Amino acid sequence: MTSRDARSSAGQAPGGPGRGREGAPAGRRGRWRAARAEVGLWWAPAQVRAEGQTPDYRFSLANERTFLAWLRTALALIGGGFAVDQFLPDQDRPLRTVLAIALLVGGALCALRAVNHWLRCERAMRRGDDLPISRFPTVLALAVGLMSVVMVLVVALGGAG
Amino acid sequence: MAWRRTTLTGAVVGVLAGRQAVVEGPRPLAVLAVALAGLVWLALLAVGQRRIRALAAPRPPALSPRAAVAAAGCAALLGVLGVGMLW
Repeated sequence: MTSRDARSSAGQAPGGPGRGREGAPAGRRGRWRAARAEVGLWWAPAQVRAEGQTPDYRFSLANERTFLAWLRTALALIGGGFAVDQFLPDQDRPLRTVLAIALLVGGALCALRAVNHWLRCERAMRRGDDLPISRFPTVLALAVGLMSVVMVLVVALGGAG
Repeated sequence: MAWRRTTLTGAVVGVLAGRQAVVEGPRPLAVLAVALAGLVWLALLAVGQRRIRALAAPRPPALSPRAAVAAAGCAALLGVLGVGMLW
């Protein structure tokens, strides 16, 4: 029953009436309060399990695999940060360091976002709500694309110079 | 399998962090950061192994938020240590 609800809500088109953070107070202060409450949930497994009904374990496992895939993305960004610093020795040190630190910080933020998204999905499945949607994948894809272009230009111009 | 892949990715990051310290020359801060990165990777490995054992059940329990936060915290810490090494 619960699993069917979760499946049907996961398949709904975005923009449906239940979309977004239902019940979240509007405005910047409300968003800040909601974010603080979400971070508080990271440390309170009992509080998460008290909400709604336990979904089909296969959905929880799928959510866990997605979380781990995001974690690997974060680790790949961190590894990329080290790689940029080590494998572009001909470039200016400041530029190389800026690119590397951007990747390292991006990786750390990606890891934190992964756990937050996992928790939000888990909670939505328990409540029977729609799964949360996010702009993060688009932002990350654009940032990685932009950084790749910058690196190609840096290597090409560095080689030409 | 997903946990194994993740710890393996963490190991690659750890190797790159170690290489960073060797390439830059053994500065005390870099050596300390690499040692901490090794410990963080061991913590990630422990969380992963514990979860792999829990998953070996016909109806495995859901991942606990603490384990998820621990795994994500390990990844985030590796990033922070990397910034510390480059600084």
